[in-house]
Amino acid sequence: MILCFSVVFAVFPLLSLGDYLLRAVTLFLLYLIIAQSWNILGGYGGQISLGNSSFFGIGGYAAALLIVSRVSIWASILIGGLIAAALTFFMIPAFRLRASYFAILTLFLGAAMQALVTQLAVTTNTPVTVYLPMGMMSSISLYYWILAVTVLILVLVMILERSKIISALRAIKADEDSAESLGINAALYKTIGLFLMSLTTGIAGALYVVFIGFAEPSDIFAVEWGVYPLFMGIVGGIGTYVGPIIGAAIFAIALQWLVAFVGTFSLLSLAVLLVVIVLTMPNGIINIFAMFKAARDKSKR
Amino acid sequence: MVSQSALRRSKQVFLCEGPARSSNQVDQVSLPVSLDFSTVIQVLMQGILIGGLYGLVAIGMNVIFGVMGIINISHGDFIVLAAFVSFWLYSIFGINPLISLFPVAILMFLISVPVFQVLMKRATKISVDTALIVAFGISLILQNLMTQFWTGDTRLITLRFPDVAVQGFTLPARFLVGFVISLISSLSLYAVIKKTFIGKAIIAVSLDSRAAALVGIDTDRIRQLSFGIGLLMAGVAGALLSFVYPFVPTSGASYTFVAFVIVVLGGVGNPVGSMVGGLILGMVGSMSSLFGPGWSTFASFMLFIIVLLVKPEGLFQRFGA
Repeated sequence: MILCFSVVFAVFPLLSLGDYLLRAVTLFLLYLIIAQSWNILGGYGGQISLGNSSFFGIGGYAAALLIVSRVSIWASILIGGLIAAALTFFMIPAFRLRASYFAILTLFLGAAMQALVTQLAVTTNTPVTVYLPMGMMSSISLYYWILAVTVLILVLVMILERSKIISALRAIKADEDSAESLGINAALYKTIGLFLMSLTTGIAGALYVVFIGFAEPSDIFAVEWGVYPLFMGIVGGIGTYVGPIIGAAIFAIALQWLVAFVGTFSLLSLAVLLVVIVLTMPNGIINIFAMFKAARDKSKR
Repeated sequence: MVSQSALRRSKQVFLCEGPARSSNQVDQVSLPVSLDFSTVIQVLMQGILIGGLYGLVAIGMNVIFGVMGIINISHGDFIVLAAFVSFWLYSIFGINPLISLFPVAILMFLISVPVFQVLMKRATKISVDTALIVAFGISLILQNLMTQFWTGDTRLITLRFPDVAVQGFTLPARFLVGFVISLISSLSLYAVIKKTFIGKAIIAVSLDSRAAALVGIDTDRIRQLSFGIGLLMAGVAGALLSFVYPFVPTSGASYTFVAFVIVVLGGVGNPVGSMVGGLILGMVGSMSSLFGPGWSTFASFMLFIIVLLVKPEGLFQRFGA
């Protein structure tokens, strides 16, 4: 599955369909990364995170600062991700509690990060945007690098899926108390899940910053980045492997369309769509067939 | 490292912390000045006043959480919505917010009906997580709509109250008014829940909804009612806040945070807990502002962490338990 995915996307730039499409697909890959990251903890583990923007932003900003300080690009990206992952430690007290508490805490973390950064700009009175040196790599080579990272992360999730980690997370999602009675240390696995999620989201943030060439705090810490993975996960299908991929695809197209046609209302429309979809198709598009089947079975009785 | 101090400082902007920040307060303490007794008492009293208001903010969320089991992430945004309505009623029609309090509260209660019937009822039936996401969606929608229609300008109604002088301490009148009304509202709610039959039904559903259904209580209607009460309280809080603190469409998030911390601190499903929790938070916030401007938010945050670690169930038990 991954193989054909990689092949398709590897061949893609060779078709030279134009710069716009290249950038669009690069963005799609980035969206895919954050969707799949969110899925680790949110989809499989049922711990919905509303504030992934904090990881995204910190990964991006840290990486930008590092790159500007002449650290190599790939080291910066990795370190950016690790710094984002370090935020995990703030969440640890929350893991003894229910998923609802976790969701709220992530929300506040995300909002707090955004407020912090805006505050920084206000008090220091200097532009906090970090501009990266131009022309570090061509669009195409960047594309391939991002593709490589995407594939890596997809492989990672695939390995995780067969491993104890995601099985444990699934158990936790189904019924945390029962899982604990089976000997699964819920707090531990939730922490692992969060660590992985924040790491990969942070890396995505760093890649994004390299992609657009600068790190604008009000952009990368914006609440939107916390909403996007949520949207992709829910629409595509939480807790499944392919779900986020579909979700990312739909999202990428929808976002372009929304920005073109409704401009300032895009976040609003996304929120409305999110509410509608989560109420009508809570398990996402992937599970549409299961839904129809269930409905049919029900009517047969 | 970015994290620790950054998070602390972030809360400074984030939370509407008490005394240290508001503009025309001559009596505010914003520097670590002389910690003489009268200053401390002054700050403490202010903390109590603000705490009462915070308690009102939390009570609505507490009722909803207690009965429906979901944390209404959009609670703060409804409060801001109510604040805006009060603001416009005052700016356009000149209606004093103390009077518009009533229609605003009723308006919020009326709004709660379609919101519940169309969105929340379905969401809670699907799963708790769905309800969370829907609440989040509502929060985003409200914030965006308010920003679109009413712009991001900061609003505040300035009413002329005489500053009350009590034994040589100056208390900003608007805090006092806010406190008194919050107290009255909370006590009324408490009385309604404790004394009336419907109140007992609410307690029943909050304790065990299945058992309540078995004894013949229409749990759906009770849930609708609780949601309505929650939003009504938010309406009152919003109307009060319209003249106590400046607000923007995105202020909702910090009020949701305050409400959540207080609900955790005071205990879910107990209105008394919300009041007490609010007072505690108010006092902690204002006392810590004695040390410097940014400390109140940090202290609130720390308080929250401590509660989570030590007694996540809160100070008071669920009502009736």
